[in-house]
Amino acid sequence: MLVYLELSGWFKRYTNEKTRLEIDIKPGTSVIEAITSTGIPEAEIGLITVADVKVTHDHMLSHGNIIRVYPVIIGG
Amino acid sequence: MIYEKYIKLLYVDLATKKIRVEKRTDLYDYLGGVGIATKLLEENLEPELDAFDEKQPIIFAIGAASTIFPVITKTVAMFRSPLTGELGESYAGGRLALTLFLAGYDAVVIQGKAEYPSYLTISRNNVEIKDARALWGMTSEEVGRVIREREPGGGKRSIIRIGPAGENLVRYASVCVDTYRHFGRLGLGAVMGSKNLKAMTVVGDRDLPVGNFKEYFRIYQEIYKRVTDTEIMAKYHDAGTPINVEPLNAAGALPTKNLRQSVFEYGDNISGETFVKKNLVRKMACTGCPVGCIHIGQFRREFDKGHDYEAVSVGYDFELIFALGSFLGIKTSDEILMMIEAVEELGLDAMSTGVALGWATEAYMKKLVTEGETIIPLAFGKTDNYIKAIEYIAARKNEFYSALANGAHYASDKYGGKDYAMTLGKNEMPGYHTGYGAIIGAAVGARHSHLCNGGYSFDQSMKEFDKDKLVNAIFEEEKERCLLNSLVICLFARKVYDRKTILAVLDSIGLKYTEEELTAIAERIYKAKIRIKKSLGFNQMDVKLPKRFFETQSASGLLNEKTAYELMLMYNNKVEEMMAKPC
Repeated sequence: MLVYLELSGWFKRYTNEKTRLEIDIKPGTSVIEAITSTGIPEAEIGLITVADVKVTHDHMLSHGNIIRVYPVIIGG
Repeated sequence: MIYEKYIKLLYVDLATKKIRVEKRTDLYDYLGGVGIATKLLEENLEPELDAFDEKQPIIFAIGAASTIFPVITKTVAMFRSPLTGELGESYAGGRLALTLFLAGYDAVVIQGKAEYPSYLTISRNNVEIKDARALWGMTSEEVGRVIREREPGGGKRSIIRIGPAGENLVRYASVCVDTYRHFGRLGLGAVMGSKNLKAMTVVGDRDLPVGNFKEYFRIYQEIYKRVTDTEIMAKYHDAGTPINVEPLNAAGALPTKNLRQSVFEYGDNISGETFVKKNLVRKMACTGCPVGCIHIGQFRREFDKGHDYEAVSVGYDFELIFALGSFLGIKTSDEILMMIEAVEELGLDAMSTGVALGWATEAYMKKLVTEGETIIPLAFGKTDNYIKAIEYIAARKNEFYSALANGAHYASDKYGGKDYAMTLGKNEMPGYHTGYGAIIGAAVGARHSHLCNGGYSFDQSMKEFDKDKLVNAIFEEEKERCLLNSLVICLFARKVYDRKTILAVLDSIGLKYTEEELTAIAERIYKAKIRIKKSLGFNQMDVKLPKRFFETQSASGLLNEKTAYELMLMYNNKVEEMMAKPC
């Protein structure tokens, strides 16, 4: 099934400068598995939303989901 | 002091013009930086006297490895804060740490009040107090330019100075360090103003051969590689901390319009990416840092009719974008840079200024204050009026702006609106409405800053909310930062400087410590800070949390006021437990 990944600009370094990706996943794939399959390290991942709702890493995806990924907040 | 068995202190009395140097071996119990500064503050503070009393000291300190290892770049300043009335602790980068190191001083203690406006020049063999009457009234930029032209030592010199806000004792006046860095928080600029001290220059030109070069270079290279070849620090150089705007806004954690909202409808216009695309012209680094996190943005300003424009460059960072941007509803990156330039020139802390103006705007909207008091109508998003208001604060233009110059806590005591005066321990809030960690971290932090313990970061890293785990994490981080700050490491690099690395650094410069000793030093410093706070009348459980924190959705949902106070009590109990233990 297909899901769509919309990325914050920071992640372009891991995705050949792309900020929108289409990923083909198997049913039962969690959101974190889908994101890290693109080469984005888990440690870099902060907030994740699916269909504009904040989700945890183990959230199970459905066909057509739009996933938005934001970087970890930094600072002192 | 590196390769020596003592800590070297420079004492300057501005009133009597007496200068003395002391060498202390006992201060090694506090390692350096914030450790020795805390101890020196405790020794020299007059708890019964006002923050502006001339007897109150200002202490600047560095650590044994300052600027000779990557990212150990900061200088700590300690004083009695005129804003909170209690512990004043502030950090700045730039060249100051390097120049103190190469001038041969671990710390400088400044006491007394100069008879007339003065500036202090410090070099290896000479300390002078010079006439600054002609500089009084100048902006930070102007006074920096005059001193650069007038004093020797270019390239090996640091110039720190205050603007008109410091002269007028605005209680959150900042100190500009080498143009783009600052002792921003808690009003060091006003304390300097109260001493008639307009500026201080330090020239460091000592030639210092490295002992055990092989071992030093090995450790240096190891750290350098971690800083530059891994992703740990990459974001700080890339878009810098403004990268936070986007995720915080998406998470509903970006304080907006005096925290009436936690999502800003114009967030994309002021994101890190937008600043990069529209304004970024240059990146810079503090001396001793291979990262370069200082982002300089440019905006265009018409300075005369007839199409006469100038390009104005100012440093920007996340906290400034929050305080002078989303918190005041400012919709564009250009306008935020204009606001930053105003606080920069006048010598104000950007965070306190923005948060105080947030309260003022809402107080005006709710008719607690009238236009007779505010002079101009205050409204979210109105940059021109905010810039005028910033000028009025710096000048203490009238009774209202004079109250605002004492901070949002003071102003809301006088005019009302306490529930939305967004301070924690009388210090204006930082830019994270992430959850309990952010609020409690700043409320219990020794200086009520998000940098005391990074409480906001636990809201992000903790998988699920657990009261005990959160309180323990904040407490342990607060202590560990006492150690990091005793070396005065930039906290952006805190993940690079783990205990093993710190021990290796100290060992390579001839300072032998064990991990247990470092733990004891960290606790010793924290205890000294708590003793100072108590001597100044601070009681943790007197801290009131503005109701607005519990009315606006955070990234962790709507927060419960009772739970927040419970967390604060739990933390206070841990502190009391620590204080009861023998040293």
